[in-house]
Amino acid sequence: MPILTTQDLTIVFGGLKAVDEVSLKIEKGKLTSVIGPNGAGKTTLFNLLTGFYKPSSGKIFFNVNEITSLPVHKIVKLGISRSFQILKIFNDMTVFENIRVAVQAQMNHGMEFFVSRDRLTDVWRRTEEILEEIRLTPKVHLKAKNLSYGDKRILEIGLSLAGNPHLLLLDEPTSGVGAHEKEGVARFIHDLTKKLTVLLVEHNMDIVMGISDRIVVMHQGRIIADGSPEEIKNNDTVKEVYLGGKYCLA
Amino acid sequence: MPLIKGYTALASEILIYAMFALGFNLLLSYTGLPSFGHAAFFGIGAYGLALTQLKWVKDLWLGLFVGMLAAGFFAALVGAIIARKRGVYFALLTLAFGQMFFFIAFRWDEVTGGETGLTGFDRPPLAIPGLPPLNLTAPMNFYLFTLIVLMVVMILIWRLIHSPFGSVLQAVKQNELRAKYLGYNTIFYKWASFTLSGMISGLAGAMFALQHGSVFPQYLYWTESGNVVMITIMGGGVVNFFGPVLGAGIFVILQNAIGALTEHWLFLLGLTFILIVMVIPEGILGLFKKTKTAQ
Repeated sequence: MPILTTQDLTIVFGGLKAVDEVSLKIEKGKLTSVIGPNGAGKTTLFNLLTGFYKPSSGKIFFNVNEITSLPVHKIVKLGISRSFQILKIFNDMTVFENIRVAVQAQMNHGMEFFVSRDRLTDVWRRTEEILEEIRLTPKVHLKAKNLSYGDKRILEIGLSLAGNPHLLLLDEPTSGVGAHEKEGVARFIHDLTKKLTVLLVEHNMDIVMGISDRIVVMHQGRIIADGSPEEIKNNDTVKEVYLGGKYCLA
Repeated sequence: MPLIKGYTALASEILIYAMFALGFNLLLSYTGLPSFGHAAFFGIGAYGLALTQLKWVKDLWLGLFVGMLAAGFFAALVGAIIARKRGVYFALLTLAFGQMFFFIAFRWDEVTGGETGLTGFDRPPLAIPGLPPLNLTAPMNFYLFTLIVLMVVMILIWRLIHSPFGSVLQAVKQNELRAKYLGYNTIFYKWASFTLSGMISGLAGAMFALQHGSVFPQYLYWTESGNVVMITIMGGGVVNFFGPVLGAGIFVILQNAIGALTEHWLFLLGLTFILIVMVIPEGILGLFKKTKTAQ
């Protein structure tokens, strides 16, 4: 039973099929990477899966529930979370406050008007757990905007983890991260698959080849290859698409 | 209160503007939504109180309550329409709706009295069960009553912004898309903030009507909406909870002190505003921000 299924998912922007009849089955507990040249439709696919865009045609199922027409916040509540290629953190909140507001969403405390947020011990505890997990505990009192870029990336992922998702979509989590920090982020992502299913968009082929269980290759909105890292490395169509491009398959 | 002796009416007016600006600031600084039509809700509150006194019963609490609820109701309606809009579209729509309410008040002679507004209602006595009714027509009594109402409103807003709900509003302000991706229905939160803010503005308007014993369509005019923006920003509401209170003080004092000397007081007010914004963009209380956060 796949955790996520798409059937002929298509979205058209002014005549251009950004995602073109994509049918995917994402297996539970696995790390699946989506790769492809710029403009292949990877981020658009993420926007479709999370309800940010509504598909022109096709369907999306999360476990057995159809989620095609649900709004973002409802899909998130069902257990799909995502991180963004361009950082979306709360810059003027501390690291602690960032994670707390995320935890609070999952625990449905958002509509409490007159209690002090400092008294919600369940939220407090869970926030500390997540901070421990993402190893930002020593930096809880820093404002998010004052973190190093690598830490901001980790916080970005932390925000997506706070809701206890079953499926996590990571959109270029190492983008902009220095070479020496990339390794750490990669290991962190790999460790996540012990608890949840990860769908990863990433340009760094070392990371993709190193940690993926399965790789899906997209080109011009379509899936052109799908298989294990070994199979993808030796796939002729994939080589052709990447040939002359700026990416090279290690 | 030796300081305000002889100026009690002025002091009450400061408190009422402070209430208005605090309500406005819930939306501006704590939710990140710029409204340029908030005078509409202030005015609706004022008309709500006046109409209750004139056409229904002369009761203080009921008048304030009706004013506040009427403003909240219309804020909820407008909010439902514009909560999906962002930035400049949001601001322009609030301006447009504000002017729409102004024209309704200006033209609907049978109900609002049109251009001449509504007059001829007094401050009903303050009735608290178990206590003798307090005569609010005495300026000092009215001042103290206003002070207590403002205190209650301030405590409620303070608790609100420090509640889990308040964190969501902050999250929406700082990054709405992320807030949505945390599972919050951000449109709903923006709507709720708009409605609450409108209610508080309406309560301030109702108090203003009580103070003056009259209401005019000008209360809803866009320049009044501009005033509350100025009060809030000048005082430092963007970075400090108490900024709107300081801003209200400066505004009312300038209006009365300079207004007594020259009819061009608005020119001087504008100049003051420009100077403050140029020198301290975060408003006067922004000066103290560094010492507060640099721990």
